[in-house]
Formats: sequence, C-alpha cells, structure tokens
Amino acid sequence: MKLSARWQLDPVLSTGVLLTILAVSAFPLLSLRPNRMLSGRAVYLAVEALPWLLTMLAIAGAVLFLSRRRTGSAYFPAPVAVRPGHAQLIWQAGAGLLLLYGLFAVAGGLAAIQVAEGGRASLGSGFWLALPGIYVILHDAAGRLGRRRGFLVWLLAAAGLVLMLAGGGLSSLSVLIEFSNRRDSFIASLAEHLFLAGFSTLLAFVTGFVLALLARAGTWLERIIFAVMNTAQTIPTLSLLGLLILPLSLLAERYPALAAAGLRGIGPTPAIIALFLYALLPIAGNILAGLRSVDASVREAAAAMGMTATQIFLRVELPLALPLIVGGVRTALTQSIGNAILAGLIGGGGLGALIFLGLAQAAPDLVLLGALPVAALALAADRLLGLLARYLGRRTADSGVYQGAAIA
Amino acid sequence: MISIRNVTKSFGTAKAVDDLSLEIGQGELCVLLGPSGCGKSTTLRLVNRLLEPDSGSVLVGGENTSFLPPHELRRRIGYVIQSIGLFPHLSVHDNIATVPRLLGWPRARIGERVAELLALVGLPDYFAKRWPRQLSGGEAQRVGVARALAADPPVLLMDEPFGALDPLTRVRLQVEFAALQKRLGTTVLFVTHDVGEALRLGGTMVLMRGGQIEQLGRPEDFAHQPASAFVSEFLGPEYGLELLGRYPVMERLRPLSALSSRGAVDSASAAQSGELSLPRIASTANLKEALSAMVAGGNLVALVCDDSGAVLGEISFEDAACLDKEGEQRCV
Repeated sequence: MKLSARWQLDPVLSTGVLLTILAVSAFPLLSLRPNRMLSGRAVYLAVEALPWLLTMLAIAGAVLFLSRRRTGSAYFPAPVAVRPGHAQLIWQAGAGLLLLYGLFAVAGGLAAIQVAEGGRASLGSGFWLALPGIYVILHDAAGRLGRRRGFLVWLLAAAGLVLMLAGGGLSSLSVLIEFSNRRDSFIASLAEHLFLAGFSTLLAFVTGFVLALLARAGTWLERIIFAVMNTAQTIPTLSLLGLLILPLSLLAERYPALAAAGLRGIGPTPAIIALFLYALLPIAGNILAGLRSVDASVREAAAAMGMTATQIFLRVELPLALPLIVGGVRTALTQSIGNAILAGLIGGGGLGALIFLGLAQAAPDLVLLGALPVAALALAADRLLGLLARYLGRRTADSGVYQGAAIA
Repeated sequence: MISIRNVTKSFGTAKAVDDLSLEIGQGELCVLLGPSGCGKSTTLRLVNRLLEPDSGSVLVGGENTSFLPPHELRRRIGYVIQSIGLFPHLSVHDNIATVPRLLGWPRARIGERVAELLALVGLPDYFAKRWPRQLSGGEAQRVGVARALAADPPVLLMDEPFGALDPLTRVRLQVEFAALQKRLGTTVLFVTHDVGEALRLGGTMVLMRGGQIEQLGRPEDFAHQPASAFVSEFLGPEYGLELLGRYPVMERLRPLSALSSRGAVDSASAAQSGELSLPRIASTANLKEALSAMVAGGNLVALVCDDSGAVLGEISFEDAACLDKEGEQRCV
C-alpha cells in the first residue's frame, strides 16, 4: 500500500511568507530622491541586488517547506494536523531572523550606495510590506516555542537591529539622517514626550486613587465623580485642548503667580491637564473595580480575624485589587503616550512636534522619526504593564493553568 | 463562656433577634438551629461584634464585649463561614498564620503552629505551600477551620461552615470536627439549618424561631418533649430515626443467641442450603444503619461484624429502636 503525503499549509504562516516574497520581489525596497522633499525613483531589489533577493526568496521558500504538515495519507487521513516539531520551529525562527536582518541590511546597504551618489534614500513600500510578513513568521515560531524561547526570539530580533543601528549599517537611511541632523532636539522631544505622558499618568493615579476611595464611600459621590470623568473622556482630545486654551489664558492673565508657575493657554501645562483628564477615568475606574472585586466573604473573614479597617485595606483589599489597578495604569499610560502627540500642536513639545514639523515640511522621514518611537513606546508600555498585571494576578486569576482537584 | 443577655437586634422594623438570652458553658458545643431568617446567624454575629446589639449585652469569658475594641475581641474568637473567605492572594500557610501575625507571634512559633494545625485538620504539611485556588471545597474548609483555630481561641463561631460541600465530604468533616472539638475543648457556637448536621455534631441544640428560642436541650429532649408543633414540624416526621444515627451499635451489642447463630453462615452457603441468612452490619455502624439493614434484609436481628468480617455479636430490632437509657426501659 502506498501512502502519499499531503501538503497542508498553515494559512496564517503561509500568508506571512507569501507577503514577504511578494513584498521583496515586486515592490520597491527604497525610494531614492534628489532631496528630502521631492519625490523620487523606486529602487527594486530585483534590479539593484538580485543575489540578495534570491537568497531571501530561498529562505522564505524554506520556511514554507518547513511548515508543511504531514496530515496522514489519502487512505488514513489524520483528523488533526500533526503539530510541528521543536526543531522545525527553531529552524523557522532562525529563518525569520535571517529574513529580518537581511531586510534591514540590504536596505541599509543599498541606501548607503545611493546616498553616496547624492540624495536621500527612504524606506519604500516593499520594506513596509515585508516587515509584517516577517513578523508573522517570527510570531508563529515564537508563539509555538513557548514563553521563554519565544521571548528569546524577540530578544534576538531586537538585539540584531540594535547592533545594526549602533554599527552604523542603517545610518544612510533617510530616517536616520533626519535623526543625526537633529539628534539633540530628538532626544529633548523624546524626554518631553515621556514627561508629558508619565507625569500626567502619575497625577491621574494619585487623584484617581483619592476619587476611587471617595466613590467607594457613597453611591451619589460615585455617580458625580464618574459623570464628570466620563464627560472628560467623551470630549475629543483636540477639542479638549482647544477648550482649555481660553480659560487657562484668562487664569494666567488674572493671576500672574500662576503664569509664573507655568500655567498658560498653550505649552506643556494644558497638554498635561488634558492628558490627566483622559487618564483619570481608566485609572479611577479600575481602582474602584479592583477594590469592589474583592469578595465580600474575604472582607468579612478579614474583619472577623481581627484586622482593623486599615489592615483590611492594606493587607487584603489592595493586594487583591492590584492586578486591576495595574491594568488601569496600563490603559491610561498607553493612551497618554499616543495622545501626547497632540501636545505638539499647542507648543507642548514632545515627539508630536517632530511629526507636525515633518507634516508641515512634507518630509515623510521626519514624520517617521516622530511616529516610530511613539508607537514603540506605546507598545512597550502596554506589554510591560500587561505582563506586570498578569504576574500580580497569577495567584488569583480565573484563567490559571493549575487547578488542584484532590478530594478532601 | 458565652453569655447572651436579653439581646435585641432589629434591621429596620424587623426584629432579627428578640430579647434573646443564652448561656454557653466552657467547652460546650451549642448548635443554633432554625429556618432561614430565624435570627441564628444574627445571634452569631452579635458575639464577635460583626453586628452590635440594639439592647442587651454579650459576655465572652466573663467580659462584656462592648468594652473591648472589636479587632481585639475578634482575635480571641475563631470564625468560620460557609463561603470560607480564604485570602486568595496568600498561601495556605499565610492564611492560617493570619491571626498569629496580627498578634505579633515570632516567626518560628508561627511556622510550628501552622504545621500543627494542618495535622490537626487532617491535611499533609506540603499543603502549606498551596494557594487557595488549588484546593477542593473540602480542603479549603479544613484550611478555614485551621485558620480559625490558629491562635488557639477559647471560642469558635461557625456559620454553616460545611453547607457548600458535597454530602459525603460534609458528613466526613462534621464527624471529624465533632471529634476535634471534644479533643480541644473549644467552646463552639455553630449555626445550621440542617437537623442531620446538628445531630451529627451532638451537643446542645437551640431551635430558634422569629428571633427567639423555641426550645433548648439535648437532641433526645426534642423528640420526647417537643415544645411546640413548630418544633415537631421543623425536625420532621423522621426525626426519631435521625436521632438513632447518633448511637453506635456497639453500645447495644449482645452475644450471639442460639437462634441467630443458625443464620450466621455466609450468604453464599445460605443461598445454597436454602437456609436463612441474617443481615450484616459493620461494628462502626449506628442504630439507624442497623435498622436500615434489618429492613433491607427482612429480619428483626442483624449480625455485627468487624473489619475482617468476623461476627462479633448481634443486635435486635428492639435494641436498635431504643433511644437512650430511659428509652431502653420504655421499650422493653
């Protein structure tokens, strides 16, 4: 009896691979322009670096080959696809990393050649399309390899890119030229951005804590506090900034002491106030929800054991509410990092200032220089605080892995 | 140990506890029994001041509780509730260590005490490192009892502690707890609506209705002299049988009579020879189980056997259907 193996491709992974193949072979990797504002000529891998293209295609093809699943024979079809082996996944991760390094290396290298001839080399559509394709390949491998090995995959990916950046391999790319042209103002903007988002979240945390405790004390207080916070949350960000300009300028005019302290209709102060108002609802709401989530019987047991009200709060309620509280800070901080871009519109500084400057000058790479770090910061804050919340809730979360079931 | 004196507690216009007085002696196990809303849980909560009485006073160990700060009073009174209320963010060890920590015991003494308590409630010592969510209902309630007993309180309050467990685990824990209570000599006030549970625990039964005591006494008194139609109705028509469950057959064991030794052959050979086979019960059985075996076996005599199956003696229907010494005389 002859058993014929069938090919069955993972739909997600093969989409990623095909996207990568399509991106590097049919789309321009770079766009070369005489100066940073004029539009330029497309640079194709197939034209400028055919061996690179072929190597990358070979690697992508290898991933596709590795990912085929033997699902049984025509006579005895296996009902469930055989899970990929461990070695297979390591190969897949390695191939993904090679593709990632290769993409950046060839982009940086081609840019260096082009820039030597004069002009600017910006990342083209091929690069931006290949990136998510490679991401899918890496994500698939990292996800299946488990938390620890998966983390190692991402660490290697990040380390490779950092090394390339530090080694100057990418410095001919227009984004990095923009960066080196304004290194000092970029670092200042980044610091401002972190300050705007971080300080407003901190203020919101302190205030939100007090408000949540007040709200817990009485239902009518809760209704008022949350009505106000909900309203603030509903007003569009830009409108809120606009609405704050007039009253804040009037205040500053009337009381010079306030103006001396930095209160003005424009600048960082109104931005911080607006970000603070937005952060308040997720933070106060989650603190309240966290404290309320504590089971009444647990609270009663704590009281009946002889804990004082303060002890109940500090030893029982707060630790149990912590995962939800961190979740609130996560939402607020991630949102503040994004919203802080708008501070650039009212002279509040931050990375938004770079983005709006880039838009005004029609310089897409300057926009990128502002937008990429904001996206990275938001993602990092979201991931890290998410991990923290999960770690804190590991003992109590309902979705735990281990649930003992021994009989009493 | 606990004196409740003319205590009244109202919620709004409804009187939950109405001029109630109750004395519970040192080492006594007192079961507050009654239907929902009869004020039994309220009475319990008045003792450790989770509720404050409108009038009247509560004394624990001779001290008026209203003169003590509630948290200090509660550290001396163990408390176990149906929902257990283990702290989910603390390990079993830390849960049990709660009150000793509040009392500022040294670390080493707490460690010893936790190990001791785990053994006391029948859990292996590696459970100290477990988390509440890893425990079954029965295990969790054992930890709950250990936590309540941690600082060796003279008084223990229990509010339907075994109510949420499956029937098998519930009965096992009831029996174990009754033995534990006798051993430790802790004064216990136990709230339940389950007559069977009250009987298995033993001790004084207090039947409540409308915030007042309807009847108080030994379980047998409730059968012989029910104070009212309500008492009989609440205890149910099978209360007499339930009561028999309190007595072990070994107390009524008689040597094998000539008549029944004919039936003491095992059932297989009896079936072969067509001879009569008597129902058999374990030596650990109670009178109710003995009666049940007689009914099932269709005979008025049952053989009592030990673990190995050897016949120890017999018990007759008359013996099994008697309540106590007075009752015994009555039924002969």
